[in-house]
Amino acid sequence: MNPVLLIAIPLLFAFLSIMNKKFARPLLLVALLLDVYLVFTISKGLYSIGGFSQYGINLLVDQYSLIGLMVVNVVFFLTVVTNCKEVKRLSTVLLVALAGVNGLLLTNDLFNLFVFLEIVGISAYLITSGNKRPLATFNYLVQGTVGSGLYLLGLILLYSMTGTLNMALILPTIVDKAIPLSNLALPFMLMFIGLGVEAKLLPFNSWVKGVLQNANALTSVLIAGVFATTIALTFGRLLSTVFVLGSISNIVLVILAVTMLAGEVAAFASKRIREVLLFSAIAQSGLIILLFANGLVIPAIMLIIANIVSKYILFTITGKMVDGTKTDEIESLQGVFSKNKLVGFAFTVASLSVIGLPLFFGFIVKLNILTSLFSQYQLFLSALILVVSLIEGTYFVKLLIKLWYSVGEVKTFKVDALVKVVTLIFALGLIVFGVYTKPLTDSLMTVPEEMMEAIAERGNF
Amino acid sequence: MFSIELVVLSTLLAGVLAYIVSIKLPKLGSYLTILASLAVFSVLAYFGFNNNLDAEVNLIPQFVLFKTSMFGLYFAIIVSFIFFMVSFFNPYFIKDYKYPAAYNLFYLMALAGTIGVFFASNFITLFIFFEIVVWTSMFLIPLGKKRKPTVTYFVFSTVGSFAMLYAVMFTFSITGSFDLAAISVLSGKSALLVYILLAVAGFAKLGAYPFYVWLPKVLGKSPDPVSAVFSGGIEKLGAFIAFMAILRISPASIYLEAVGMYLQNYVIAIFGAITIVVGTLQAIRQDDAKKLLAYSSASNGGYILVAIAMSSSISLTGAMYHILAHALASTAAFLAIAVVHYRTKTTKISELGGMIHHMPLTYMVYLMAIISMAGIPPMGGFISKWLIFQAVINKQMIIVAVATFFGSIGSFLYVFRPLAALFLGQKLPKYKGVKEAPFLMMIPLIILTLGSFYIGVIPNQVIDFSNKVIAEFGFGPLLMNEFGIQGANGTLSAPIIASVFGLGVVVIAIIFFILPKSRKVGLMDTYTSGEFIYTEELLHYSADFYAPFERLYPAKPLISKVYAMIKEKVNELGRFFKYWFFTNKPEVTVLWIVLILTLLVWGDIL
Amino acid sequence: MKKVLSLLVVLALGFGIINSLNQNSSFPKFGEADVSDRVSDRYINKNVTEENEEVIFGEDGYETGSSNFVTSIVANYRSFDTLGEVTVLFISAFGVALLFSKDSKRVSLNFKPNFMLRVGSRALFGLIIMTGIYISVHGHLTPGGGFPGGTMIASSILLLYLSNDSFRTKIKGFKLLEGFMGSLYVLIGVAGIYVTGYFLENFLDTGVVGDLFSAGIIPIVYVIIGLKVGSEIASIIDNFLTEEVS
Repeated sequence: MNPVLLIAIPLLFAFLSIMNKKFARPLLLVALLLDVYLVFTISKGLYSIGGFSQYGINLLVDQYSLIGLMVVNVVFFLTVVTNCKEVKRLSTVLLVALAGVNGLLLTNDLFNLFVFLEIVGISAYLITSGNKRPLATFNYLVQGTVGSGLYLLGLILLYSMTGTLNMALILPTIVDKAIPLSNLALPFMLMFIGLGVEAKLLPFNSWVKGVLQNANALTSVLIAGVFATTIALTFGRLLSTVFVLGSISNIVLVILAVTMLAGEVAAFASKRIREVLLFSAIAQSGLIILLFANGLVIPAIMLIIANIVSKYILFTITGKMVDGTKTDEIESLQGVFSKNKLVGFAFTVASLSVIGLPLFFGFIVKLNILTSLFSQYQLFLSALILVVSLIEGTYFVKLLIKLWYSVGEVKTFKVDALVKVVTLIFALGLIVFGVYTKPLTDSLMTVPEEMMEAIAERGNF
Repeated sequence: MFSIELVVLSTLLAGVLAYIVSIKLPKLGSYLTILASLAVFSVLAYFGFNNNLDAEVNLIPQFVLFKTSMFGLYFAIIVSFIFFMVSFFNPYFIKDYKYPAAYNLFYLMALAGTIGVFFASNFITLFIFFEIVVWTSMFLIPLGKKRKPTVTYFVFSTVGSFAMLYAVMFTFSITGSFDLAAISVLSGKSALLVYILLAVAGFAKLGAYPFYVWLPKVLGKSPDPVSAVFSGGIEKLGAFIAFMAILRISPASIYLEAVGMYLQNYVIAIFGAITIVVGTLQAIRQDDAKKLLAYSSASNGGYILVAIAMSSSISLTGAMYHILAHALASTAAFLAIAVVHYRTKTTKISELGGMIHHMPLTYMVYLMAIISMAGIPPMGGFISKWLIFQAVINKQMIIVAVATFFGSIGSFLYVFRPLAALFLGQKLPKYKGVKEAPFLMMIPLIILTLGSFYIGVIPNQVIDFSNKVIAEFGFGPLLMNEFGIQGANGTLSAPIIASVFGLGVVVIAIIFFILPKSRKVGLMDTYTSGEFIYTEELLHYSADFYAPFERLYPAKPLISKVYAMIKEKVNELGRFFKYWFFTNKPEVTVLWIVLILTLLVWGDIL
Repeated sequence: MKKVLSLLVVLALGFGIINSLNQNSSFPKFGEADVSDRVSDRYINKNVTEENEEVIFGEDGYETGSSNFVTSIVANYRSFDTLGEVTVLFISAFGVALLFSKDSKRVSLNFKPNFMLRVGSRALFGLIIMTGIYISVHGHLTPGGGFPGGTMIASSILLLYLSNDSFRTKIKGFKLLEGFMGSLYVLIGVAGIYVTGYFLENFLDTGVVGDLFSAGIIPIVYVIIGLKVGSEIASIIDNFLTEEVS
C-alpha cells in the first residue's frame, strides 16, 4: 500500500466531515481504523509524490518511520476511542491532526516537513482551545508561530547553501560542496530552536505549562503523548540524518541538559498532579532529544515508546480523575486509588516504568541508555541522568503513596470500562516488555543502518 | 540439584499466587507467605549445604545470570531464614494493612529479589534484583500508619543503587564486562571511583553514617514484621555490597604503616566507627522501642563495616559472624517488640511497663536478644564482637577501638532502657488484660533465641562456613579446635564461657528461690513526701529515663538537617525554573530565543 | 524603556544575523546564486524526469505543460506542499468558526447597508468575481493562480455580505463547496496513484505550452484551490462579521 494514503485518507475525511457535522465523529473513527490497518500493511521504501524522484517530495518508510507510525497511530486511535465524549466538535481538527502527524513521520523533504509542522501546530492550538484557557492557547500560538518561523528561516538559509530540500541529499551535498561546519551553525540553530519550541525544550517551552495544566484527558494525551512523540521522532530524524551539529553542539547539549534538569526539579516543586506530569514530560523530551543529539538512536526510540505508553496511562487517568473529583491538587486527591484499584494499578505501573524500576519496560530503557552513554564514555551526562532520575523517582513515589493512602475523606471518580481495559493492557504491556524485550530490540537493531541507507543512496529509487 | 533461577521464579510466582488468594482471603494468603519462605529457606539450606545448587539453568533469557558461591549462599540462607521467621507474624498483622494482598505479594517479591542479589553472577543481574528489592520493600512501608518514610527510604536506597549503577556502568565502559570479577581488574583512579561508589551503595543500604537517617524513620514507622525484615534481612544487602567493594577492588592508594592498612580502608573503618558512636548515642535517647532498635541496627552496621575494612582473616570472620548474630538478635528483638505492639497497640516505652507479668516468654526472648546485641556471653553477639575487638586491637587502631568499645558499653545503656521500663517497671492499670504472644508468634521467637544461643555456645559450624567464605576472597581460615577459636592474642572457648555463665545463672536462681519473696505492690501505692499520687504517668519509672545523659547532645542528628536543606534547595531550584521559564508571557520565551541566537551570531562575529 | 530595550536587542540580533551571513562563504551573495546546481534549475527547464534543455512556448510534450513555471512548481512539482497549505487554510478557517461559535450567538450586521453600497457592490461583484475566476483558471498561464483568485472571489462575497444581510443564511452552501473542493483535490491525488502509481501525479496530457487547455491537472487543481480558498475566506469573513461584540 502507498503510505501517502495515511495522509490522504484523514485529509479527505476531514474535508468531507465539514459538509455534515453528524458524520464528523464516525468519519474520524473510520479514518483512524483505516490508518491503523494501513500502518501494518505498508511496505518499506521511498515513495514519490507526483513522480519526480529525488527532485520532488518523497515519503520515506524505513524501520524508523514504521515504528513511529505504528506507535503514534495506535495511541491516537485509542486516545480518541477512550475519550469519545470530549471529541465533540474537534473531529475535523483531529482528522487534520492525524494527517499532519503521519505526514511529519513520513516526509523526506524539509519544506514539506514545515508544512506538516504548521498543520500539526494549528490543530494543536485548536485542540488546546478546548481547555477554555484562551490565554494559554494564545501563548502557545505565539510561541509556536515564532518557532515555525525560525524553522522556515533556517530552512531557507540551508536551501540557499545546499540547493536541495531533500533530507537524504542535504548531508551528501554538504560533503560534496565542502561547506564548512561553522557556516551551517546559523541555519541549524534556527531550525533547532524552531523545532525546540514544539519539542518542549527549555527556554522555548513556557507554553507547555499553561496548556497542559488545564488539559483534559484527550488534550493532554494528544499534546504530551501523540504530538510529543511525533515531534521527537521528527527531531530525531533531523538530528541523525540532516543536522551536522559541529560548532553548536555545545549550546545544544547545554540546552538539552538544562531542560532535563529544570523539568525534573520543577516537577519536584509542584503541588498539582497535572503540573507534576507536565514537567516530567518536559524532562523526558529533553532526554530523548539529548540521546538523538548524541547519536543514540536505538535507546532514544525505546525511550519514546516507553514514554508514549506511560504518558498515555498517566495523562488519561489523571484527566479522568480531575474530571471526576474537580480538583488536581495532590493534597485533596489523597487516597483516590483505594476506590479505583485497577486504575491505580495501571497508574502505578506507568510511574514505576517512568522511574525506571526493574520488571518494567522503563528499566530496560534506562539500562540501554546508560550502557550506550557509557560506551561513548559520557561520564558527566550519565551522572546527570542518574541525578535527575533520582529526583524524578522521589516525586513519583511521593505522588503514588499519596494517591494510594488517604488521610481523611477520599474523593471518588468514575472511569469507563473501556479506559480501564486500555490502560490495563498498556500497563501489562509495560510489564511484559520489561521482562521480555527481545522482539523489540531485534526490530530496533536495523534502525540506524536503514536511516543512513537513504543518504547513501542519495535519495534515489 | 535445584536451580537458583527456579527458586527465584517460584518465589515470584508464589507472591502472585498469594496476591490472588489474598484478594478474598488475606489471612490464607499470609499463611502462604510462611509456606513459601519456608520452602525457599529449606531449599537453599539443604541444597546449598550439599553444594547442589544449580546456577546453569537459564529459564529467563537475556542477561539474568546466576552463579553459586559460599559468600552468596551464607547471606542467602541467613536472609531467607529471617524472612521465614518473620512470616509467622504476617497472619496477625495482615488485617491491619490497607492493602493486605499487596503486602503478601511484595513480601515474597522482596524475598525473591534478595535471593537474586546474592546469587547474581554479573552486575546487571545484581542491580536488577537490588532494585526489585528496593521498590517492593518500599511499598511494604506505607502499609503501616505513616507514609513519609517510604519516600525517605526510596531516596536513600536509590542514592545507593544509582551509585552502584554508575560504578557498574563505569566498570563496563573500561573493561567491557559486567562480570562481578571485572571490578578486580580495575586499577588506579578508576578503581578508586568504583570503590567509592560501591562503598556508598553499601553504606546507603546498610544505613551507615552519613546515610543512617533512613533507618530510624523506616524501621520505626513501618509495620512491625516489615521492620524486622528490614533490620534482619534487607539491610544485609548493604553488607554484601560493602564486602565486594572493599575486598575485591584494590585502588592505588597510600599505605598507612601505623595501622597496617590502606588509606581507603582506614576511611571506611572511621566511617564505621562514627556510625557506631552516632547510632549508639541516638539509640540511648529514643523513647520509641522500634526507633531505639533501629539506631542500634545502624550502630551494628558500623561494626560490620569496621570489621570488613580491616580485612584480615579474624576480622572478616568477625564480620560474617556479626551479620548472622545481629540478624538473629535484632529480628528477635523487633519481633518481641512487635508482640508488645500487637497486644498493647503502642511501642512508646514511656507508655508501657510491667509487661513481664503479661508476657514472660516475650520478655525472655527480648532479654536474650539484647544480651546478644550487647555482646555478652553466652550469645552469638559475644563471639562476633570478641573477634572484632581482637582484630581492632591487633591492628592498633586506637580511634576505632575506642569507638567500638564505646558502642559496646553504650549498647548496655540503650538495650537496658526498654528492658527496664517496658518489660520490667511498674505495671500500668490500662494493660490489665494483656496476654502472652499467640502460639504462632512464639515459634519464631523461640527458634531465633535458641539459634542465637546456639551460635554463642558452639561457634564451630558457623566459623567453618565463614572460613569457606573468606577463602573465596583469598584469606586464610581462622584456626580453631573443638572448643576454642584461635584469636590474635588468646583463645576463646565459647562452651567454657557459656558453662561458667550457666553456673552463675543457676547460683543466682538458687539464691532467688531461697530468699523470701518481695511484697507485690500496686502502682497506686507509690507516694512521695507523704502524698499519694494520682497522675502516675508523670512519675512513671521510664519517663525521662536518661534525662541527664540526654542533655549532653541534640535529639535530631545534625546530618538530617543537611538532608532537609538539600531537599529545600531542590525545591527552590524548581521554583526558580518555574518563575523564569514557565511564565504566562510569551515575550519571555521570545526573549530567550533572541538572546540565544544573538549569543550564537555574536560568537560567529568574534 | 522596555520597548527601547527590546528594539535594541532585536536590532543587535538582526545585525548579527546579517553580519554572520555576510561572512558566510557558503551563502551566496544577492543575485549571485548559481542556479545550475539546484533543483530550481530543473523546475525551470522542466527536466526533472526527462532530458530537456529549454522550454519553448507553443510546443508540446513537456513533463508539465504550464507556461508559468511558478505554477508548475506550486501545483505540480510540489503540489503536495500546496495541498498542505490548503489544509492549513482550511483548518484555520475551521478554527475561526470553532472559536467564534463557542459561546456567542450569531448576530446580524449592526449597520444598515445604504443604497449606494447595495447598488455599487452589485455592480462590482460581477467584475471582481469574474477577475477572480479568470485568475484561477489561467493560473498555469499567467501570474496569479488559485490563491489570489480565491481571495478575489472571497472579496466579492464580502461585498455581498456588506450589502445584503440575508445573504448570510446561504453560508451552508459554502461549507459544502469547501468540503467538496478539498475532497476533490485529494481524490485527484489518489487517482494519480491508480493511474500512474504516484500520488498527485500529472496523469493527464500536458498539451501545448501556452494553451488554456494544457498542463494536465494543473488548471483543474488551481480552480479547485481557487474555489476552496474563496469559500474558506468567505466563511472566515462571515465568522468575523457576525461575531457578537460583548
